[in-house]
Amino acid sequence: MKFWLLGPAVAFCALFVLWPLGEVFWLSLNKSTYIVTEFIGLANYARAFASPAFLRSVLNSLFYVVMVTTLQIGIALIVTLLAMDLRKKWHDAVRIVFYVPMLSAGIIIAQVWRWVFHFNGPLNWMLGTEVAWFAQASTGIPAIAMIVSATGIGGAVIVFLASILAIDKSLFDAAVIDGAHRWQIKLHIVIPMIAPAIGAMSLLSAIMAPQVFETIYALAPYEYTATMTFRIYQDGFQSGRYGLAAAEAVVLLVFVLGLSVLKNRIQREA
Amino acid sequence: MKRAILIVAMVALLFPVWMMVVGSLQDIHGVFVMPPRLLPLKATLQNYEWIFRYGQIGRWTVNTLFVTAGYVTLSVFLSITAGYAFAFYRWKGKKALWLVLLAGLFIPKISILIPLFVVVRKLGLSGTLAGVVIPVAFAPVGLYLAKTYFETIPISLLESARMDGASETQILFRIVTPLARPIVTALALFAAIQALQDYLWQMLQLNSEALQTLVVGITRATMKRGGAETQVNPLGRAMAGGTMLVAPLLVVFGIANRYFTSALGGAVKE
Repeated sequence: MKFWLLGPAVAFCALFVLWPLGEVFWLSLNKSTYIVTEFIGLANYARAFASPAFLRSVLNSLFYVVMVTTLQIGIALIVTLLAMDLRKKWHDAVRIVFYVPMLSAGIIIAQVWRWVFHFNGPLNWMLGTEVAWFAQASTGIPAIAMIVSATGIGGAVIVFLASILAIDKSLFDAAVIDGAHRWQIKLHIVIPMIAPAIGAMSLLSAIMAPQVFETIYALAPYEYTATMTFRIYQDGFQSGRYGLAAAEAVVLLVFVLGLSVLKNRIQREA
Repeated sequence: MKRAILIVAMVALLFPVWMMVVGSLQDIHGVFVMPPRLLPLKATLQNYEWIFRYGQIGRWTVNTLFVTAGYVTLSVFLSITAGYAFAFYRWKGKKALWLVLLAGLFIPKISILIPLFVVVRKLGLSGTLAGVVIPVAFAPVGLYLAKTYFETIPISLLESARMDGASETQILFRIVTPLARPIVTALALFAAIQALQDYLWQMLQLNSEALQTLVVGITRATMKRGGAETQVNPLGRAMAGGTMLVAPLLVVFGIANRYFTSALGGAVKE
């Protein structure tokens, strides 16, 4: 009877992951307000792909994926490569400080950013501009991407640092004897050695980006800044069109799985 | 030079949190004084007073404690029971089950949220605090981290306990869990952060004001727009709300940050 230990997790996964997953596919084939449900085949998908608002959110999600992943992984990598030669005290400081934004993520910190990007706020004051930053996609999307990126750097820093510190030091010594410069070592030895960690963390960032909700909800709840998740929230929970929202949710699911497949393909070729 | 860059980056990351605390202590004029002050111009508690007057803080705190305690207990229990089975047992179909349980990592949350309402209603949990906790308690990341950590425990320890007649349940809770205290603590902390921050799900699930958690109640109160009363200092109030939400997280993190960082770092060493 020792296998009872698997029971709780399997039951929870079945009830709260697999069952809803099945339901979302079924719901996507129905016209549904939850109370009345009518089978309409693929009409919700046709409607989603004919909807400029949804297509916009797909395009925006692609922007967010590229921007957030680049910023998060890029900054985390630079920080780790800078900190790796320093003493342990620095490693601890970097780990802790970069984790703090994670604690204040999403809805909690959003109001500070409202202030920073406010018409009369510090950013406009500093730049001497008068820009309503969230009033158009061209400034709103990068602003949101930046806010979101800041919260996820910490996890990547911790993972990269652990991977680097696990590398056998004698590899570096050998390279130094061969006359390699410190930055050459980092570029040609360290980065390739932690490539699996970089790949995994990039995928996590990329998966998270189209799911950004709270920052948009609090700062820029508009069609032109919406991620797919925010669009689905509006179509489902605000407009009560659950069938349509379910179809869009299935598209998001495919989008995210597509990212995973893409990452595996890139890694296999590298 | 390296140190200088790192220090600038760390200051930049802590800046928003610091300015949130400062802003929460400012009146409407103080918030928009440029250049922004690093300390409040004329510290006032009026924003906090407003939140305490218009929010049911006592009630929301009790609800939050209940949700957090329930979520931490359940989520850690699910991760360590299944983690133990996956670390120490072999059976046919183990790999397939592992992939199914971890699939949640790649399924966007919103895709589950829409139909999860149906599931929660069918289970009779709608609009209750248990309905907030139970459906999201299973965390694939927690399972992954638990299993990875348990695998570092020598199996000979288990075997000698079995010889002494200990049951599997006893071994898990009396031997493995104490040995794996760092990871168990880390899982509890991750769960606590999740419970305190998960605005979207809690907001959708809890409509009645008496049942709200701090993150939902405070956010709703401070984000309400329109009406003369709300126009007094919306940013200051929102930042006061944010400060109240982040404070417990900072305390939790401050007490146990080494567990966080070692848990995340340990995950990549395999």
